[in-house]
Amino acid sequence: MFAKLSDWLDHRTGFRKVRDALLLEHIPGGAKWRYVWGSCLAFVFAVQLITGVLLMTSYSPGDSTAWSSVYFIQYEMDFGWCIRGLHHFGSQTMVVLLGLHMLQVVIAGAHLPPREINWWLGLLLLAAVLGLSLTGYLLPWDQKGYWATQVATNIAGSLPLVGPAVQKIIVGGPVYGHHTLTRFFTLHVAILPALVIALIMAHVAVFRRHGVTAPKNAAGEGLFWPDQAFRDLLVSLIIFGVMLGLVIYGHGHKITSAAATERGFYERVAHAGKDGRGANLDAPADPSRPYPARPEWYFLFLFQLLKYFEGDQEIVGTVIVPSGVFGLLFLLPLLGYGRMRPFGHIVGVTVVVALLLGVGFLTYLALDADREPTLSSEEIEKLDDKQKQLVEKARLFQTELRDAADLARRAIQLADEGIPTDGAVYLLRRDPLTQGPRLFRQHCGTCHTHGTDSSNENPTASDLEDFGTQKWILGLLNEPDSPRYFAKTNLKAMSNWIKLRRESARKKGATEEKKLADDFEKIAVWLGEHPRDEAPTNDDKKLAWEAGSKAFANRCNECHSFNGTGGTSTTRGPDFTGYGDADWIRMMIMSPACNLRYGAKNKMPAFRDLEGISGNLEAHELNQTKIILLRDISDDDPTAETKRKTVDEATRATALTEVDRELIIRWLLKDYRVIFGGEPISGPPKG
Amino acid sequence: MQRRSFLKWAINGLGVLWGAILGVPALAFLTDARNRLAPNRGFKTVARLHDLPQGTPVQVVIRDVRNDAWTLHPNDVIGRVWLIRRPNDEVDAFTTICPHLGCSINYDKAAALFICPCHGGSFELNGHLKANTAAKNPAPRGMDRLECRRDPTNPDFLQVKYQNFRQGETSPILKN
Repeated sequence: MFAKLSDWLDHRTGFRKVRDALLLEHIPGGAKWRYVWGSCLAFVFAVQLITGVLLMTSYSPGDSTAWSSVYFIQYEMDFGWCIRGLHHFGSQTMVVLLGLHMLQVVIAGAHLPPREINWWLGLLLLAAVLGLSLTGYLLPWDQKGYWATQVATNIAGSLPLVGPAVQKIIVGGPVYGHHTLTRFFTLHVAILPALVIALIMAHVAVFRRHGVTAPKNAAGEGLFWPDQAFRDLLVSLIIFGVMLGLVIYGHGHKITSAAATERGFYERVAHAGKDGRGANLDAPADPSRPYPARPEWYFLFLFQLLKYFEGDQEIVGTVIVPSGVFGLLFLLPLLGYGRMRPFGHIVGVTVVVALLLGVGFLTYLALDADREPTLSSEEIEKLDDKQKQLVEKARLFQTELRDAADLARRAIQLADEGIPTDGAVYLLRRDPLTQGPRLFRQHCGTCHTHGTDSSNENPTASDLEDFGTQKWILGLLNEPDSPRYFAKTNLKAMSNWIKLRRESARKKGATEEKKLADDFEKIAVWLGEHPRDEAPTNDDKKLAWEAGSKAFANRCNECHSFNGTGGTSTTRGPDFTGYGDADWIRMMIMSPACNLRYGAKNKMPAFRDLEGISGNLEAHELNQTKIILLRDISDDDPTAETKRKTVDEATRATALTEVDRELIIRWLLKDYRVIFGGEPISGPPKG
Repeated sequence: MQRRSFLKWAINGLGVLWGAILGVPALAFLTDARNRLAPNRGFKTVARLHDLPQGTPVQVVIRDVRNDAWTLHPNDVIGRVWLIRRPNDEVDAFTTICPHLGCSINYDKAAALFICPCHGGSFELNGHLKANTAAKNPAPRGMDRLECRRDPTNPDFLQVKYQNFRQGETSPILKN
């Protein structure tokens, strides 16, 4: 049946003739293990093509989507970690195999006449494959690829005369953006692979013209099929096994997924990316966040080479030496004509071995310079200044690398919850945990402290670590005059009241003192829940709520209003509806002098988006608060002038954008969800 | 000759082994979309009853969380709905997606019909297929009805549960 079908097909296409021509290649001297490298390269390239096309079905080149789509492949799609991992390690395998192939060729003297042209085709293949590696490194659009590739395109820009123009065309503009990705993507998936395929076909065709370069004393004769093919395939599969091993070992970041708590066997294997299997993905590319960039390991020798050339000399390291070496490789076959042949052979081997050793040595130096210093402080003391600098540099590099890895882990963990439309870079830019401490120090840190995150030599306001929690409130009730609370503020009424309560309770005896302490505790528990209208339905909480609410009504309600009741005292304090929750804090930040917060006693500026599109309205609203406070001051009052100044002070305003405010609030409340949505609302700037 | 046939078998064996190791993950990856199911959406408020005229269809948008692969849209337009208030203040809701091939159905005021602009699928205002059309009606079934209810906490608000149905079937079948 099968044979008949085969005959039918052969009669119409003549495929057997083509197949036999391809497979029944005569190998003088017989099949040998050492001939496998070319086939292995073709094999790994085929793996790259298959995995590459698969990745193309899910990758999205674009400034706001590239990282996200790679994240999705790596962490969400079935076996995405495996496909991407094979592609990632496959590219590195290609580079290693190219070195071995080249070495085998010069040792056999296969670069010498009449095989010069094939040597040159091989060198072009080497360049094209390195081009594939370079362009592919950028595509995930993560910090590592983004910053490492900047170096490559800047080197292109440093070429004399044509440099800037070439750079601009490659990058697709003056700086990296959408078109950098679309261009690198086109190079990576269309132009370079097509070039490599064409070159491989030429390489094999030209190779078949003269066949393998058999050793002189080789006896006998073999065929490619199946003798050599078996060896080629076996070694290829061993190489594939090593690649798969590297993928499974993996060097990605682990995440804990909220979606899958119970993971079955298939789920665990299909989504092993979540356990750190497969290739690494760094934090999303962010031009505003520096990164300790290094190229992929097989380009590290060029990175190291650059260190020996400074200033005007730099182009020697970036362009002249590498192209000189490449030129030298091109010339090698020309040394093989006539009686020069033995000499040409020796020179060929020497040059390639020296080149590989040199590359290896430079790579080692580059890795060594970055290694975490293991010297003790005493040993470092003994070093001279230059060595100390190097140690310091390595230490700094390692610290930056660890910080970058922390950010990468955070970004990936956040991406698990969904990525904003604006792009993955906003995962970290709008992450309360990442941005909160910085924004707090910038906007609040002049007066407030926040535990150890934002310390302050001379705070003039409370410590906001754990603000609004039961612990914080109880602390305030017990020690209002502590510098953690109101010591440096105008808010004396509260501490005076507490002192009076304590005093009177002490006079009345231990039972009364205990009652006061109990009430404080109950109030703290209740307020720590940020009470608004409804009591919780949970029975335990409901009891505590009722007790706290009652104690509050007895002790605090006269000065502190709640849900529109109370707060009638002349020494009134802020409203306690929802005390310490996001809405409460938001009003405090935006309108601290309003009648629901501190009124004329306030010292904090109102933080508002005064430059945003609702700036006028916000300024007007703040002014209303001020007018109300000024209305309370009568002209007959001898201290009217001072009081007006206090009101001025109480109603200052300063700029804070909406997003930054929400980031601070979420960070204070330990609500670490990313802030989604575009802010501020605007169009293109007016021309 | 025995050695050569062994080698051929070995090559085939190794080839199959490699094909399986790469092929299984490749196939799983390529068909990953099977894991992305249509979301099971709840009721979303789309309009207020007192804004709706009696008997005349009004098109409203429906918003909800939308997940698109990696992107999370917290509050995106997920579809459009035709609402028709009946004399007894019951409200009918129909998706605007045509059951024929998925174009968006318009309301033709003059003819008092829903008409799909792509292939002319026409529907009565009660959503039923219009019979006796001049040309054959291409739509296989009437417009797809969406569940519509009053907001339990505020009866003036109308809520709709948005769903997508398969095209070309004679009765509505959910897309998943």
